[in-house]
Amino acid sequence: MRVSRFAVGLCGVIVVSLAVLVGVGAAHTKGQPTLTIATVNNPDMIVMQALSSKFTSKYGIKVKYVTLPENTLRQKVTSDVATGGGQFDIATVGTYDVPIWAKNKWLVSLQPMFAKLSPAAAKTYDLNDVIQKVRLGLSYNNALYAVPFYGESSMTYYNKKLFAAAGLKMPLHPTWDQIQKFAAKLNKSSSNQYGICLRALPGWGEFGAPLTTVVNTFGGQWFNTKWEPQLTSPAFEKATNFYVNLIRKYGEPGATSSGFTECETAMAQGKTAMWVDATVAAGQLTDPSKSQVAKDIGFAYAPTEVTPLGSHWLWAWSLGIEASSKNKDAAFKFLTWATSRDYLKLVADKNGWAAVPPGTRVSTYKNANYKKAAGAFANIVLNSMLTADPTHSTLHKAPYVGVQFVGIPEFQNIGTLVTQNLAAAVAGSTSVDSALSLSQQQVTRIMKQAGYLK
Amino acid sequence: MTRPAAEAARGRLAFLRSERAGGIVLLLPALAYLVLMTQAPFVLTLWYSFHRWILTSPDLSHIWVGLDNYRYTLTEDPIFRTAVVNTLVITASIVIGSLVLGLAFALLLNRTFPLRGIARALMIAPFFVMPTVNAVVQKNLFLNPIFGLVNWVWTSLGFHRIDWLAVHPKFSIIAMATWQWAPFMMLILLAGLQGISDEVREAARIDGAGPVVEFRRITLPLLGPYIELAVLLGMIYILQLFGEIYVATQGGPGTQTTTIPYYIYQTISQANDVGTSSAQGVVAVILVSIVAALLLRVLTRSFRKGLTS
Amino acid sequence: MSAVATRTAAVPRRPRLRPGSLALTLLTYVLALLVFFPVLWTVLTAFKKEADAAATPPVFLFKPTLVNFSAVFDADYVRYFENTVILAGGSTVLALVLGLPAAYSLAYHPSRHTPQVLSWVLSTKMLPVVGALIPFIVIYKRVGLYDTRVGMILLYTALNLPLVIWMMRSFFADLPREILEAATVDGAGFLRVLTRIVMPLTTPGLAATALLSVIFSWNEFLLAVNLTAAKSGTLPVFISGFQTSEGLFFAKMSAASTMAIAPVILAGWLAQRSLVRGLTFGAVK
Repeated sequence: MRVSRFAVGLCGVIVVSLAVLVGVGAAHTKGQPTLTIATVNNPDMIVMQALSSKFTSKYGIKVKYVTLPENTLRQKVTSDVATGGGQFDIATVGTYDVPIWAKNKWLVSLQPMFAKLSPAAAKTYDLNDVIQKVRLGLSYNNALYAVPFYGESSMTYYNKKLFAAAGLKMPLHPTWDQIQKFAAKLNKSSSNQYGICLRALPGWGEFGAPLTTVVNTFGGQWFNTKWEPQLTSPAFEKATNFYVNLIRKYGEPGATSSGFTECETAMAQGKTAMWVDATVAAGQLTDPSKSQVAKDIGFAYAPTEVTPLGSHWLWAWSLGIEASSKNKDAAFKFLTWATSRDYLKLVADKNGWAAVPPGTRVSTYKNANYKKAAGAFANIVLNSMLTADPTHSTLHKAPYVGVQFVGIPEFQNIGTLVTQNLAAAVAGSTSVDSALSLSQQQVTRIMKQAGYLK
Repeated sequence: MTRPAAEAARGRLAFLRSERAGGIVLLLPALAYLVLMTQAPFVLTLWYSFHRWILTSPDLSHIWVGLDNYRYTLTEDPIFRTAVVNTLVITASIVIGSLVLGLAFALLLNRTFPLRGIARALMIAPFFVMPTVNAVVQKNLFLNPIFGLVNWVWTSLGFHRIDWLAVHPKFSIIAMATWQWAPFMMLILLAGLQGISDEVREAARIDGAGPVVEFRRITLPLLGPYIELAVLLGMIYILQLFGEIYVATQGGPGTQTTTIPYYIYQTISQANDVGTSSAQGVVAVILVSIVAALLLRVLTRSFRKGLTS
Repeated sequence: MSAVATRTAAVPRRPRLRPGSLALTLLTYVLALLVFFPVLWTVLTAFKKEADAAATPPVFLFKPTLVNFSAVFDADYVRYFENTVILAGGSTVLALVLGLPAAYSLAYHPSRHTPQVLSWVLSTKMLPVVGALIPFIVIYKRVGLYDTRVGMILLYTALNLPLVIWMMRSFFADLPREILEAATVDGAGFLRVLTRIVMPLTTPGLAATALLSVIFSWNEFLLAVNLTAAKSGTLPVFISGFQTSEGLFFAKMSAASTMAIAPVILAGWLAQRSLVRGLTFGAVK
């Protein structure tokens, strides 16, 4: 009895599975192409996915998304293109990836496609309106390979109420020394109030980003012009010691698990008095539905020390067309649609001007509505983005591009390795200097293997 | 088995009709399938391990380097060595921990009591959840240094608050994974326990054996094959533990929770190095085979000894 | 390999009335709740607003909302669910179809090669999947199975086959020899013996094996994320897609996870029934 019931159940499963397999396999839409886009799950992308239907109704081109976390996406798309591609038409790439992928011929140059636009279309799109430094970050050999979807720099957030209560005033252009003094005064760990939150989650894009800006502004750099690693140079050591000690003394506990999200949460809940991080957080921190201290958030430029160069970063999530795509023209239509001024207006109509993708076009910042909605921080964001130069971000000349990263394919590995070692220092199980000398050895080896050093 | 040469032909026919032939026919599809599906990737992995291929540098691809990747991994790479040690420590701890826990749960669930079905379902539930999701929940809910529930209990007992993932990373990972794998062990051991008849137990009790003696002399030996199965299978799966480390500690701080699978993942996804990651994979196979062989020998010897009949 | 323990068949259970029994029962309840708590928390979090979900200290009383679940369905949950069911179900069925005869053969027609066969079968699982990602991608692209459901079913079957073989062999080998001999004396063929005698007696082991196989396929992530794209993505890929480095996602991810676990728990509950009945091994004759 039991067996026959079981057997029937088994057969049922097989039949159903086969039916669905066959049924779905047979369904194959011909006609207009379908674009497959690899993307990350950031809030602006979610809005883009929701608005894709407008694109489809305008051009008749369907759009499918594959959404993954950033590191997984990078690994998957890299593996895909390196083995011949074919899965995606459009990839969401960052300012780190674009020059490297362009060099590897994994992305198609957009220059000829823009040149083919009719004068009217070119004027409507207005490529020159896109922030110049961002375009620079997305170019290789003077050709543009991706268009920015949203851009960001970094800045200082502080809690005005806590500052006022302690009788402190945050200058518009603070120095790191001042920040440290503020943190010391505002740190009350016994009441779970912390002076500052800084990322220490291992990762070249997590801990590595703010750390690199601190190294830059202290006058240090990752490599000298001969590509020799500078991790044990006086400036690099000073900057890293400063960063790590700041966290250990006046920063949040659990720092090695704290990335952007954790610090943002701490800031939004009033648990930390200061936070230096991406400008995109501004909108969320001032949104009363997401932040408990929405009215108390103050803004300042990212702190500097010895030099303002490289003190605030430049990043843009951008859309690029894969070289293996069979629908390049359709993909280009989507690219230009999603980064056009009309798209920005679409978002504004749906979610309000404060939700418009930031950091891509100068015109956004001149728009009266946007200024009203985002006034308090819009200027700082725009100025930061206009002055973050990926080709000049260190005190002394450097052989690499990139503000908060080094634009070489090996940096993914190097940055993560070094921040992992430093995380041990943040956790207290080793000293900063020994973590740095270990890192220096490892990085030197990697650079030798990759052919930069003899 | 030797057959006289003269009877070879007749022997072959007889063989085909025999049990032995039937046995092989039954086995063949599965074996052929496994060979087809697993050996091709393995051979390709082996092939790549003799080359240099950096995904993000097309000019550094498919270059023959012979045993250079192996030489580096086995003799030069300090992180790989740390990863081997970490893997052994962490895997052994999780296997032992989940086995003990699973056995305890199985013993408890082997009794009759009201709502037994629900209790069993609750105890199996952790295994249904995706490891990365479990890790996210536990990282934020339990191990958060300020408000995690673990610290809440810990500080109420009078101790200082601890940043578990930073200060005791291995222990945190082991604890999370043990919780996840205990149901696996429990499922297998429960099947074994339920097979031990009441008559055998009654006989033992009549002879005056207490619960502890009954457990040692009867339960444990009869469970032997199932413990063996659970440990062997569990070890093979747990050796590949990845999700928890990926979410909670990222192999750190430093390299304290970098295990072989995690390190291989870093090599392929961070360094984009196909050659080295393939070599690491092959070395891992060799290491696991050695450990599995040793384990098998230890297990069969200890349980064969303990059988009562 | 493992010694075949001689054991007598279990007789139907009689309720025990031992001292300390109540204490043990209470202990069991407490432990079960403790073990289940993180899962419960995940489900609760699915009903919170993102701000509540990320709140420290953790919020126990909150106003529930279904907004996360609608986000999950908007993100095309149904397609991923469908794919996962087909993959997990299909690979388990195929693994059983291939593995049961193999387990039968290894248990009842053992030879001096049996230990080696078993070792080799297990060894196919010793290569860390993560070390063979590129080989898998290259091979699958070459044979046109990249991002297809058939391809994933074939792959998962290969991953689950060793589990089926090892576990079912153990359960088969544990049956008293006399039953088997009695059946074969009657001249019954393999299929008859398997379906009429062996399988009914090992239904619990079968259910446990099938359940484990389904769960492993259901939760498999690394191969799924690398070998699927827009067409054959599975629930683990779907869930991970909610993670973001810039924004709160805990509640949505919990909702996606709840929608991923619920069907498995349901199936598990049903499999439980035969587990419960069969685990007491019923009457042998």
